[in-house]
Amino acid sequence: MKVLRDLKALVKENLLWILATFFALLALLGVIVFLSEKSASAPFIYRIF
Amino acid sequence: MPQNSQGAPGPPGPPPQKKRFSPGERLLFILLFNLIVFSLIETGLRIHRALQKREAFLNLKDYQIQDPLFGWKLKPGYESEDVKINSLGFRNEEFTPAKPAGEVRIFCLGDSCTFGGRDPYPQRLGRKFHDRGMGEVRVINGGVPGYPAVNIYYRLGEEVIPCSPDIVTIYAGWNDLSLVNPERAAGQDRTGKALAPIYDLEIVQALRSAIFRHGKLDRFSTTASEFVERFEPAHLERVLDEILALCREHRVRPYLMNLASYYSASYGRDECERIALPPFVRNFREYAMLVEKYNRAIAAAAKRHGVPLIDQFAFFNARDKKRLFIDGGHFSEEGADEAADLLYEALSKDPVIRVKSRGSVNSR
Repeated sequence: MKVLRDLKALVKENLLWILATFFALLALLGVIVFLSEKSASAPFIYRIF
Repeated sequence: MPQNSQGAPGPPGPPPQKKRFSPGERLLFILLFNLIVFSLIETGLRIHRALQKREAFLNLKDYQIQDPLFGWKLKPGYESEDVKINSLGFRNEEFTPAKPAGEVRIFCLGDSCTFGGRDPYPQRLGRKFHDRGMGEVRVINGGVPGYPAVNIYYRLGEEVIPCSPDIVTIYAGWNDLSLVNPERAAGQDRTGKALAPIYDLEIVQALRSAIFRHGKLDRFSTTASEFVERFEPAHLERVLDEILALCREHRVRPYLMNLASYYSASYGRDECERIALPPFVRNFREYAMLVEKYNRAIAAAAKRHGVPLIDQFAFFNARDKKRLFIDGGHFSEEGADEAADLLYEALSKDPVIRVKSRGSVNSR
């Protein structure tokens, strides 16, 4: 139970950061997909790595 | 609750120490948490996709049934106003698997382009032979909507060879073109193989379709992906090799037909409206390149096996295609008649038909 309590507190404390990171990652992925598709030369996967 | 020496409740002690996390631990937690959230979304999307696929598979047309070998096939004995499937599962009048003496049997194998609309080209071809005094030539429609070349190969072995064909015409490739993504085919070698699962993530695919859903990509762009440029439809050639080997083994005379395409580089937006591009094709330039590559693969297989090639592509390119197609590859009624004319020209010169026809004329 203590672990759960700690976890809950941790989520509460970092909620803003969690949301910010989530949307930042999603946006980053979106931008990569958009740019690579738009270029029509290679799928994004080959441009990242 | 803390108590004093008399057992009475005393003042509250200090609150329990709240655990402090180092910045590193917090960062790790945030990333882990996001990973879990992304995994949950991915799982949800995968379940959704699986349900969609299941529904599409179960939503077969009335004249189709599921089949363990083919995935789906035509429903024997089905009859509606437009479509009639015989007891052997062909869109045709009834015939017996055993061929009557003197009959020349032609099977037209293919996909929805062969299965056709109201009056498909195999049926028209049969009438053309009949009207020209070659009633002993029976043409059977062996088309099944949605079949790629590999299904046509299985159908040839399982359902057509047992019906003693003399000639088969093979019109395959459109469904292969729509199913095989050149990017994935390229991903089968080098680093792509290891990285393909990321590209295939439903989240990535969902982002792709969210961004490009409304056709924001320029479909008239003349830039083609390097994967399309490098792509060779080796899978189609391999299956055609198997089909032609099977024909040789059973002494059946095969004719390969290449892809008749509605698209023309001179067409504008209105004319191209009726073409549905495969989901992985970005523009008409890529589409035209793929059609050309598939046609080269068909021509190469025909040449390798010394088999006649019916060049529908060139034949239709020399005509007013707007009247002859209802979309990117399916014939209109008029187009089906032209295709039957082209086939008639080629097949009526076939030695099997000429010998048998001469025989039947002499015996009359």
